[in-house]
Amino acid sequence: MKPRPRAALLVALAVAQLAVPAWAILSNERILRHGETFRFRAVPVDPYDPFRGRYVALRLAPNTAAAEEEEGAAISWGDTAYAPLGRDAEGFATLGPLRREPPPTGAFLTVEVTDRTEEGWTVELPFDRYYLRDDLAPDVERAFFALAADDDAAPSWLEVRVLAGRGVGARLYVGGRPVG
Amino acid sequence: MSGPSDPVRWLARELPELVARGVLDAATAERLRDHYALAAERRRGIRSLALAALGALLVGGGIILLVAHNWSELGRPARTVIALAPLLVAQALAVWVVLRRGGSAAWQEGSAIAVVAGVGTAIALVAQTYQIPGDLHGFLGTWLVLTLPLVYLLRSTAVAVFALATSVYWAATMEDGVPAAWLLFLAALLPVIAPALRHGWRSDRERLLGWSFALSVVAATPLLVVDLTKAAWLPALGIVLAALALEGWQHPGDDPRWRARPLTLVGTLGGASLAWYLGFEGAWRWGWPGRGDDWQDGAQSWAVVAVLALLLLRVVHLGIRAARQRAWPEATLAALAPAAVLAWALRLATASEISLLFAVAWNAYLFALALIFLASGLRDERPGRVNGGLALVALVILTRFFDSDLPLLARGAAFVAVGLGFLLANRVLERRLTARTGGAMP
Repeated sequence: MKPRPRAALLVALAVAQLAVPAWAILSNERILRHGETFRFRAVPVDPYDPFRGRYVALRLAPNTAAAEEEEGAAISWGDTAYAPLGRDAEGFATLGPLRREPPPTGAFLTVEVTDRTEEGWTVELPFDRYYLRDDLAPDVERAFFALAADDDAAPSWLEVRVLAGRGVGARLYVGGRPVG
Repeated sequence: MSGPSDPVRWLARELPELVARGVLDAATAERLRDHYALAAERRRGIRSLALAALGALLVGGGIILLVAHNWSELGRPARTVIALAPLLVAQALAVWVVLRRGGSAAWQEGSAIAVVAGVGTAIALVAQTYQIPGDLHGFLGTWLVLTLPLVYLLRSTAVAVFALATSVYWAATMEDGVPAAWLLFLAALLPVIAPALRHGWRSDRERLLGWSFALSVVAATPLLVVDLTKAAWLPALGIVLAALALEGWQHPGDDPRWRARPLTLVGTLGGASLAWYLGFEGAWRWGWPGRGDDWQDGAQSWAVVAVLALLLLRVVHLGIRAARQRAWPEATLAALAPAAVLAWALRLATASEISLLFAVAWNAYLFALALIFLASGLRDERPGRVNGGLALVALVILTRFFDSDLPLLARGAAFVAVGLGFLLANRVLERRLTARTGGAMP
């Protein structure tokens, strides 16, 4: 292939290479700027990704929800469903009954249904990690375990912004204090 | 006696005298000068290429590690700039290289590696900044798809090697299911692999590609079939290793050195290793027949089965051709594929009480392979094959004897016999080669 067509194809590839991170930046910025804030109770552990660095893997609560009665039979394992969001008395997020269609009003999350338990449907929330500076992550993990052993300690949570069914983790709080 | 430290320079000094004495004519001397000048130029090219690739790799790796540190002190706008700036610079460099340095392999390889590192940095830093969920498998898949075309647009062997290695890593990080899309990654690289597959792995870049290809195919095979059905690694590895060995035999190229035969070596050594492992009774007893899951139905499973079936047909076809040409080592290696499939099917259908029968059969196969290699090496005067055959005989005897309850006297006698076999076979071969070359050892 001659240099000019090859360079043109390379430019097209470069646009595609830039489009992926650029799209991620734009869509997440929109959620962070205009999304509604919710707090999910968090249980952090500390793994490592060789490319993206150290992060706190999060097990968030609540991650179970009932299904709307008339639609309950239609929801099954592996489905994508919509969970309306609310807040409990302490200000933490609650998941409403799962729906097959997005609710017409109010904040909601798009989730994947992963299991069925006595408590209802288990869902996979669209946040599972919080990246931290690599020297900070072990301290966060230690602080978390110390706090977990203390029943009177303040809770840990992930603050997320939610917009149009999508959520972005905004800040992690361990023992009531922000980290990172 | 030690030779000159720089044989090419020494030859250049000697040539005028050789021409003057009438040992060489002037034209021959000129051709020798041209030939060695080209060889020196090629060596300089390889050095420059290796340094460019290594430099770009170190810079890229360093950037990724710096990014992985997670600079939470920086705000989102600053991190966005850091995420995209190296990629933009690398992309601009790559376009400039195509337009102005299109003939330079070093520039093309260097800029291609820089773009690969730039893409990795950009998607990693954006994921980190926005806490984007997703596992390593997804990250590697995105990275691969976005960089694979550089193999063609920048004619980059380094990116092809990166893609082969990363695609195996991608398959390994898939949590469950059959990673059949790995076959698509491989298919996307076939246009650069196929020509060398046909004419042999001639240049250093082709050889690097050949070794990467052979090793990644072997590494990916168990990952492809681990969730397919019970113990599917056995027939799959048997088929793939035999296919590599037979394709290597079918298209040997004109370079006889071992490093120019990646498929032959990986297929043969891998096939012998598989047969050796299957020669242990425990390989047939533990975990059978419940090892792995039941058949996982789906398009991906059938795609993998279809590719394996086609490879099996190809191996059988080449095996029959090898037998007709009396290429017995290759014909025996070809038998590995149907034998592995048959043994797997039989073992799944039978009870563990007959595990010993399977182990004995595979020992017999490996022993036959060893003797056939030995005989072929002696017949064709190929020391590598003779020693390879003897090494296999020794491997079978040593491991089986340590594996059994035979008395020390019997084991000792067997070791002495194998050792004498080594000495005798090499002596016979040496005498033949000496006779053939008129006293001058090759």
